Amino acid sequence: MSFDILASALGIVLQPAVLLSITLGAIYGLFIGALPGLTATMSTALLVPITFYMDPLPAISLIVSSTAMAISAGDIPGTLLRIPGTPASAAYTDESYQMTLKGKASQALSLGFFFSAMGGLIGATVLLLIGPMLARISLNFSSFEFFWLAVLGLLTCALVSGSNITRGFVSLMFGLLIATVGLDVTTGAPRFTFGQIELMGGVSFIPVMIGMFAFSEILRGFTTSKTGAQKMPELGRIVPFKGIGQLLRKYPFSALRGAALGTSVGALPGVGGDLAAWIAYGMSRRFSKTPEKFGTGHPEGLIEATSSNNAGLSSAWIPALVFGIPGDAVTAIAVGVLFMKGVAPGPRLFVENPTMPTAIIMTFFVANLLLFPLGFVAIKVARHVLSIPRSVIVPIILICCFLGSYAVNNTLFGVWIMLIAGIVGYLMERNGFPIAPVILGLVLGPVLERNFIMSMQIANGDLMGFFERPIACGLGILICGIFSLAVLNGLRRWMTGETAKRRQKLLTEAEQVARTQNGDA
Amino acid sequence: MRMSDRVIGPALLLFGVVVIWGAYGLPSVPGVRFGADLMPTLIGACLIGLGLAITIGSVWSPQKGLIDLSEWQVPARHKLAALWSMIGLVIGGLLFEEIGFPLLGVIYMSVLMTLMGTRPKTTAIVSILVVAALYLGFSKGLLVPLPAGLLGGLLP
Repeated sequence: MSFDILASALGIVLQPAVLLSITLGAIYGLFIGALPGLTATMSTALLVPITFYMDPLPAISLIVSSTAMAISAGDIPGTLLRIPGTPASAAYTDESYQMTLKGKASQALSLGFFFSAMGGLIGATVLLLIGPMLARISLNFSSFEFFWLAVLGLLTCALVSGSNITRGFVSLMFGLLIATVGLDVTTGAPRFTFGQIELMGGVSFIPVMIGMFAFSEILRGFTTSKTGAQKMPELGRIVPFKGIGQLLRKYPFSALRGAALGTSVGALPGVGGDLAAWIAYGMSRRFSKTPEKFGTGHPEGLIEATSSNNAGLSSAWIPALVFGIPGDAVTAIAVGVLFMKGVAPGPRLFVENPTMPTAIIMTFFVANLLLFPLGFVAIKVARHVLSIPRSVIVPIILICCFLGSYAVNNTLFGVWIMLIAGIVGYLMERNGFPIAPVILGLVLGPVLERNFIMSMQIANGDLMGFFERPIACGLGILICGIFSLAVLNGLRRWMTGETAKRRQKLLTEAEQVARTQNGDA
Repeated sequence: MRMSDRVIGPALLLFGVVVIWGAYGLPSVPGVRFGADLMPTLIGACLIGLGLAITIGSVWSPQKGLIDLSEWQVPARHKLAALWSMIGLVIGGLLFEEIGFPLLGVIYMSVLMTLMGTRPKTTAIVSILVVAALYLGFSKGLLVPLPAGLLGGLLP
């Protein structure tokens, strides 16, 4: 990447509109992330209608900064209330809460923000260095390679987003099926429109996302008895970032290893950063000199997991920007926003308009750097944000869901879609069907179908044509291998009755959690 | 609301059949070998396969009953709040043009907040302020045409 491109990208990022978007996005992300039960994906879904009225870069910077902040702020309720703010922070909630009980809440919150920012910066650096290189390689890709990449993204998402592979695939099929609604990509024939003109353009992914991520979550929240503010333990004096230098000197390898792992795992299409935190925490314990201290309020695993969180968040943009294949639900939303703005992510973008992807990557640096001052404020105001009762927040979110869905086309059709998607999302989530593959299927469906049909026409219907080009062959073999292993593993579990036992165990655990939340236990 | 795999599996299987049947009815274009029906047919086939897998797996599943509603054993006002969150949106949608967003928004939020146990004074202040801010932000700031309805003459 040339210095000219970097300089012009930086010039665009430092424009007031972009900086304002980043700052407002970060404040919004802090608020949503800090509130238990409101996820980073949900915050992004609610932001999308606002991005209609913005230029592409401010719109994407709003999403980038709000997500980075929401993921980091998700540590706040985990640390203070033992309720993970986002799925990414669930991996180390017990550890950070133990630190709070030991009177180290300030340190736990500080290291969360500090190492999140550090991980995010490392992830963004990798994205900046690797992105253009991969884009140059992928310029030679044909529809066969893009088809396999889309399959890889969907497959990994379906495999890792839940404990049951079959259910992950069902979710994926739902997403792909919704994507087929509207005019067919090859022939232009209307499909599953049932005579509705609004469905001719397909099902807009925005109301679906708002419904599945926000509305369904709210419905689920009604099944717990508590609606007021949570009671938190005695926190003592909060001094943000105190003692971080000492921790950095003591655990430099943990921070770097977490960031490296987060970057690698997050870069896999369809995986994203949530899984990275779980792997990083487990790895930290395994390689630690003092594994017995884990679970008692020990900062080592926390540093590694929290670094991997934001690193994974940044690197999830590698497949999204380079191949147009989203790395997780948030990047799926962002890719959709870019498409709406007439910016098609993919290798051609790096060639035709290299400033745009570089500027997007630059926003990661600014957003993550902003985590230091905003993290300082967040740590100071955390307890006040948490004192806002759920009974006030939920109605505000619901009215925002209504407006956000209405604003898609300025018709009520979006509201009906949101409502249906919310109820379906709730039923899916309660029955063990993950939501993320639905969204990824919806966004990647047209990409998958277009490349599949194109490849089938080129190969004249011969499936072996998908294995004739070297990279396509490599990807095809890899995907077939992953799929076969997953199926064989599922069959083995089924034969030994492990699935049924595991399902019963999960259901029992879920019931115990529900009882605890209801205050019965 | 949890459903037994004995319900989910056959439902998916049936759904897959309906999808294939729907794909079969799609118009074909002369000279186009791989048309609009290919993808839905493949998805339908996958749904049938997955539905079969879940149905077969359910034979060994230790689940009790077909539908489990135990998670909804919560105070009555929570159930009402959940119901209002959905029905209120439907009513709001149907009366959107006539009554207008500002009034409907305040009613929707006030009822929900009351059902969720917020104090009347907080309910009134928060719902009016939030709806006013959203109305101004969306209709004046983002130029989303939100109907003012009955309050048309009073609002800016």
